[in-house]
Amino acid sequence: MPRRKTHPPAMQAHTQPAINEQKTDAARTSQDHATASIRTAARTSQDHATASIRTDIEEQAAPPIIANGNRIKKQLGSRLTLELDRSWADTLASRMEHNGPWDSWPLYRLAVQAERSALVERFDELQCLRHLTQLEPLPHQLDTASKVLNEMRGRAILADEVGLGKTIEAGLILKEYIIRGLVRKVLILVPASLVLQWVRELNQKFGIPAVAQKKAYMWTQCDIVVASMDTAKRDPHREIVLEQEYDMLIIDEAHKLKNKKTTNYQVISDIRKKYCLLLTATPVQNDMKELFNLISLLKPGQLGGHHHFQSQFVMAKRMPKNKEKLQEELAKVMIRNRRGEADVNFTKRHVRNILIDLSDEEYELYQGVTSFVKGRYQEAGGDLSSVLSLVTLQREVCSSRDAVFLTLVNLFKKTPEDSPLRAQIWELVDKIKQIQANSKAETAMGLIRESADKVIVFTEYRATQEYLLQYLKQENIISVPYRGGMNRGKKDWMMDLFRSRAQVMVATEAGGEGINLQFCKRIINFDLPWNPMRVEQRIGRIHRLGQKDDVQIYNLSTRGTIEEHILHLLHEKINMFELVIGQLDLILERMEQGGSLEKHLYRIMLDAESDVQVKQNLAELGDRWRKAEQDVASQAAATKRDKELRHAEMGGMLQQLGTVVSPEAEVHP
Amino acid sequence: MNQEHIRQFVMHYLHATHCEVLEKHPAYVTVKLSPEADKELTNRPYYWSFVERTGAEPETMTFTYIFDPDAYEQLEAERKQRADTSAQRGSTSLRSTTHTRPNAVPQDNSLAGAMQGGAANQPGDTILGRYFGISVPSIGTRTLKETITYGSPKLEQMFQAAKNRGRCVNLYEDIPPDAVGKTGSAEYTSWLGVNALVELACDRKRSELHSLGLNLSTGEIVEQFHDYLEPLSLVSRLPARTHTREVISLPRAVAELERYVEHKLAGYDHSWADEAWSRLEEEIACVESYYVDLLKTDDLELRVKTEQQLDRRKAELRWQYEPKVRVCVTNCGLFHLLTDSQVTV
Repeated sequence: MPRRKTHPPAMQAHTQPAINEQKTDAARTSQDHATASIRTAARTSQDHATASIRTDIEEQAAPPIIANGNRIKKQLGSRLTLELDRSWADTLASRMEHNGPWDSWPLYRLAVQAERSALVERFDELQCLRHLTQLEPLPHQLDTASKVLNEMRGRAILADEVGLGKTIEAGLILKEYIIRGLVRKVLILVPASLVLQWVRELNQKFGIPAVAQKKAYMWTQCDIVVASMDTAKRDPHREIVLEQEYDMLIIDEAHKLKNKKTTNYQVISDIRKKYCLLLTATPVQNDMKELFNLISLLKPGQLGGHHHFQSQFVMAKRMPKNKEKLQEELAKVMIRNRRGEADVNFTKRHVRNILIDLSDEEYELYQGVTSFVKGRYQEAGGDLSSVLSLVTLQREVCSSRDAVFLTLVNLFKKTPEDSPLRAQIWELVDKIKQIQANSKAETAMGLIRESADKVIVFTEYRATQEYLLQYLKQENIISVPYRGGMNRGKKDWMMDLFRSRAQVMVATEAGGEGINLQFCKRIINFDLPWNPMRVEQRIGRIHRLGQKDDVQIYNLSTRGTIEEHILHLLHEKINMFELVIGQLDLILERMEQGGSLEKHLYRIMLDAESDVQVKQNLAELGDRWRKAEQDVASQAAATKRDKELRHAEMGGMLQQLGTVVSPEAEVHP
Repeated sequence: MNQEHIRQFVMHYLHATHCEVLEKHPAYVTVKLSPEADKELTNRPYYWSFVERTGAEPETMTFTYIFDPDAYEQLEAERKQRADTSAQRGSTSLRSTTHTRPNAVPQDNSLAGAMQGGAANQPGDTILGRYFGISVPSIGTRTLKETITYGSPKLEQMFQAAKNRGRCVNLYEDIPPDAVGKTGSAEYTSWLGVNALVELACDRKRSELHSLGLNLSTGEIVEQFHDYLEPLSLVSRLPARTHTREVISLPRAVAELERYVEHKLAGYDHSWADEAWSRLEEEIACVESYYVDLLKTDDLELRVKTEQQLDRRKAELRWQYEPKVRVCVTNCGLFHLLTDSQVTV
């Protein structure tokens, strides 16, 4: 039988094996360290401690104690309060009195383990990383988070350039404060169209249980609420929001708060908050005052009072003075990460143009429609506006018989009953009836089946979209639609389904915020828009930051039709598909000084008497494009030089404030 | 906590709550929850209040908790492959024997395979989950899959459950039945054990866990008390022929422990708090500099309003920066440990 001697030595003897056991346990090294030091000092410190407590009791005059229920406040030194929770003693006393119920020893031990694992051992080290398994933040995002936590004291303007992950940075900071137990109640105000996206990202990537505000009770009942600014500033919401005390307030697209006199600004400045993050890619657009207002929302006084700011820092509307001092002050509240000069390092685009031979029936329809359109154009005496919609017919034939059928039927209804045109249209409809299969759709199906990877099929026409959805269904391929008319929630849902279930998305719309389909790397252009901007938008949906693979672009066009010409123009002349064209909007602006490019193309198609002539005209157009491209490029270079000269320019200062992120950091997120 | 620690924690938790482990593997565990664990982990209070009110037989849920998603996926793939080949063999043999329904078996099989594949791709990845971060457990015998990594909601829930259910104990050190002879007796010394979480907070924060034990007969206080208890065998029932001795009353013990903690904390380097104070003063001065101009107005109404706003800003700053030390007790208990010299045969 083991016999132990007097008590304290027995305690020592017992502690030692426990330590040895723990030493094998790597995770508890810090604990280990603590125990080890106790081992040597235990006895003396214990004795000392108990002894000194005894004397303390006698010596100390009644210290100021403020009791509030089970919480006791005391002074620890002159300027530090100590809060002691005493509820545990009551629980223990009541259980002793009733002799239970007692909890189990295994759960008691697990509770200690859980508490130990959640300890925050240092003031300044980021804790959130080990909590995040769904996300690997980029170095500049981590730097930002740690800077906001340690240097900016939790109030900052995150002004990264677009696409560098401001949302991720905000999520990291929020997560860190939640883990540290410094933040519980949070309000996140974002544009209405981004509410769901924020909620999803916070939940998925950060495991932060954020909810989208839907009902008034949610302001008070839910801890982490995402809402739109417009909702928050309206009654009855405004009043409730202003009654809350938010541990953290996050505002996305904060540049909308540049005017002090707006209700937005006033409501936000009345919200009670502890920590605060303002997100914007453009902290200053027109006026130095905007910057001042934004900072006053975050940290009033950082740039002094209004007069001080005007006299110290403002030369003219867009001209700062005392630049260095201003920069220094800005750096205390603002973080701006910029892209490297090399700009973004995109993955490659692989383009495959596929020429399709129409079936005899299809080609006959195309010929029929073409002569119909030309005839109408000549009748109208070369007046483009009246026959504009007719060119669409030609384009539609190249897409699907469904598309052209719908337009013809509408045209038929609009034509007066006694018009000879009715017979002509009817003839065309008859030709449609002859067509049994869609050559293009069959080719597309072949491409889709080439691999199991996801594909987006873009078309210009609703009818074609419907047809393709049905066709894919017949072929047992799961697909989802996407179009401009859908509301935000439905669009989100479709994107979700595409990500999780469907192999194919058939889309008619490429524009709009927040369509990020980087998980997909194949695009089929079932037919082509005649506007280069829209072509680029389509490709931009998948060929953007976060795309890890090279992108496959398939362009389907039909031989011997206007489509072939257009593809030739976009691909050979403009080189639309392989390169990301910088400043496309500026080039287009130049090109379109004499009317829209699309209209110009229509005229070329209608005026030309032969294919050769079409080719010639398009080649000319291509040359003009190249010239415009060169002009824009040289102009850009000139402005850049100009900017460098105007050293005191506002944007230039922001530029200097920022840290440059190396392009590599972006390519491998 | 690494993967192995998490696994151990989960296994201990399941064991402590009397769950029925159906399948155990280093990468995962499949378990039928006990009512106790089900109440803590499945977020269905309505179901449980229904069971309690109607006295219906409770049906607890079955989960597969995955510790190593990659390894688990690999295992699943292998298993599916094996199932497929054996099913093929099964279906051909079936086809040869039963000519009446030749297509029935392969059809069922492909359906089941598709469902399984869909679920395995993204465990717990439901639309609701993606939007709102909640997973709605469905009723039935289906096994739900959940990945348990550090920071995952389910592990947080288990942490919280352990803290809720491991709050207050009363335990005795076990002795073998023959240790005390027919006429002998063992004497126990009672200790009050407390695990106290100490938080040092201003606009930043760090925390410590102090485990203290107070000898209820001598008033002596030791640190690292929990580590001392860990290896002991503790039971909830007082073993036969033993007696305990407590001299110090609970209120006094609590006061002693509080004094001890206070004294210890007073001896810390509190430069962090001084720094917080100087940050606060700096911030208040900064805010005041902003309002100086605005307060110079003759419009009385506006001035009052501005003053209120300034006060509110200052209150926010104090809320954010004022340093505090907070002490909360995670759990506590009475531990009756053998006083060896007193064991007599």
